[in-house]
Amino acid sequence: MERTISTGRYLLAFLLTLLIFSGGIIIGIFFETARLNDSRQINLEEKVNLKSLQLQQEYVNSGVAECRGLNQILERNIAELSRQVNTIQDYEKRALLNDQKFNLQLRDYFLTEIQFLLLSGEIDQECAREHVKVLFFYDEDKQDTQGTILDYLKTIFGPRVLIFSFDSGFTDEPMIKLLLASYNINRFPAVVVENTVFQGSTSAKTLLAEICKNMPGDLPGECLTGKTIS
Amino acid sequence: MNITFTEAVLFSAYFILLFLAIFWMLVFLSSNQHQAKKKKMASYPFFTAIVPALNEQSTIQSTLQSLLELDYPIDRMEIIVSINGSSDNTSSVVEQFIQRHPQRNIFLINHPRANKGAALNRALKQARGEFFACLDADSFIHPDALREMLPYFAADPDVAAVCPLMKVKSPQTVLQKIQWYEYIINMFYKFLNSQLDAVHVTPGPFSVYKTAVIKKIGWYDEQTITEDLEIAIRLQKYHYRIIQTFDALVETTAPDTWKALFRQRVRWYKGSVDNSLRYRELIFNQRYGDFGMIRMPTIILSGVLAIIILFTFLKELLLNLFHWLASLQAINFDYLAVLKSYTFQINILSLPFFKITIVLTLVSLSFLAMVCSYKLVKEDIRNHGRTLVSLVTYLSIYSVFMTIVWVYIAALFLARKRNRWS
Repeated sequence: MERTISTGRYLLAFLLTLLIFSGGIIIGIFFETARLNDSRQINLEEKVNLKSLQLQQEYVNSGVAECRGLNQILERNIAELSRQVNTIQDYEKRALLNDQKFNLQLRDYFLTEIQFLLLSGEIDQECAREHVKVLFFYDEDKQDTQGTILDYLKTIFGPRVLIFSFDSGFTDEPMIKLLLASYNINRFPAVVVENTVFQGSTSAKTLLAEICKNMPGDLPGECLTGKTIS
Repeated sequence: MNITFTEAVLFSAYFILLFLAIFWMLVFLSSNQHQAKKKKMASYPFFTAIVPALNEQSTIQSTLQSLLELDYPIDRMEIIVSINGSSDNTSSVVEQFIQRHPQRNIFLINHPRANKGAALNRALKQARGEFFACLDADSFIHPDALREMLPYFAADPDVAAVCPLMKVKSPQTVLQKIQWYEYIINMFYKFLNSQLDAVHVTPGPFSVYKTAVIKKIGWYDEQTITEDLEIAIRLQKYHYRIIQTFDALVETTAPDTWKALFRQRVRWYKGSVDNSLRYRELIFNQRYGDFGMIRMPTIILSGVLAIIILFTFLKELLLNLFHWLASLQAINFDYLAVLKSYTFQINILSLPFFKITIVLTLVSLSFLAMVCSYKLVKEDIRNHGRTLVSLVTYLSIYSVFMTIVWVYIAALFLARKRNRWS
């Protein structure tokens, strides 16, 4: 029997497969542009929120407006910030061609977050502190449960806890290194509750106790009843 | 963008799968849509039907009856039942059947337990047929099958074997209906293989062989657990042609329990691995045309790809599950608090579009293959009922089950376990 090899079909199948793969990549690039625009939009919105809060703070300083409501707006802004960080980091991980642009967006985001952190300190000095500030330094390359614990505590305490999250490995932004150095942090994950530093994984019970210790004004029910957490 | 080793392996697997799917679709599109040449036979050659049987007392009578009902001159055929060390009443059932049909050429051979190949060779030693076929004792041949298959031999002297259209007989359970789907899609695939002279297995149920050729190339291998696959590869090695026809129908009983199916598939797939390695000189060997270039390599490749994809998904699933459990444990399983704060959000921009494109293409090609296969064998997917549940099970659990078979075989191979024919 004479044997044949379907060389033409092999070549055509290979080319078509390459075409489909390339099509997938092109679609990916198209959506990457959309993601870049989305992260720019997110950062723009956060900057506008920051500017608005700064103006409100100046109005409070000058006695034109009252402190009431300022803390609520601050809490809403911070909550929105922490929701958006996952989106921008996810976009940055998926980047095919625009790594540097996404890096810049992430850097812009973290800087805006630091500005919110500093602004919250200023607001605390002018208005009665109504919340506990928590800084969370995570390691993006490790999968741990610290973020889940902080989300859980946020669910319990609601607007009375402000959580600022930073990627400890994001060396592109020197301010993060500065923050780490200022708290003398070299192990991750790390949590700072007001000025108390916890390095390595910290249990929900320990953090809840520390938050309650630093809670201004009336203690919430969870602090009084001692919510049972392991 | 960081691509992990796992992702690189997965994308390579997708690339190969997509390439193979597109290649076979191209074969289909350029196929002549007609079967191989047939030539009316000048006379009726003598034909031997061999029925190897191992503990088949409940089905052998029906099998023999279907052979008696073949539309073929009774003086031009014989039936040899080769009983392979059965411990039940198969032998006496056959003897009674012979007594009831004294006018037919039916012979019984009893011999100690041995491989099916040995059983076939024993029968072949006394076979008088210019052509022979083996019919498993749980299979049933349609009356016109032989008349449809023999003309292929007359048209082409290179033809050494002709395979019938195989279907699952009257599927009664969801599992059997799933196998009914599977057999039909396999038939489509075999049709494509035959377009390239790349058929790699002549299934046990009523593949018809030229007796002289089988004897010339060394009779059946008595060690292998898949003698039908081994003989087909050997025929290809000696450059004989194997035809897949849809003119002749044989129906076979499919396993109705997952355990029985698992045992059957372990034997099939292990046999294909053993024989692929045994005949590895054919792999990517241009002398064997498309059979060497694409069919032989993909016998084992399909199992390797299945294992890769399964392990990749399992790894992701287990890691995520572990992390989820660890997270719940960290908050003392206060899942109500988690549920209270949960907000359902989909960010379309976060979807993995590259992976989605590839998977959608593969799924579309698979669906197209399914539609084509049903059209080719003139069946309706709704036949035999249980359509929805069996289709869902086939598309989900069944492929995972088959992958587990491959994993088990990989483990057997690594442990260098001996083959057993059962």
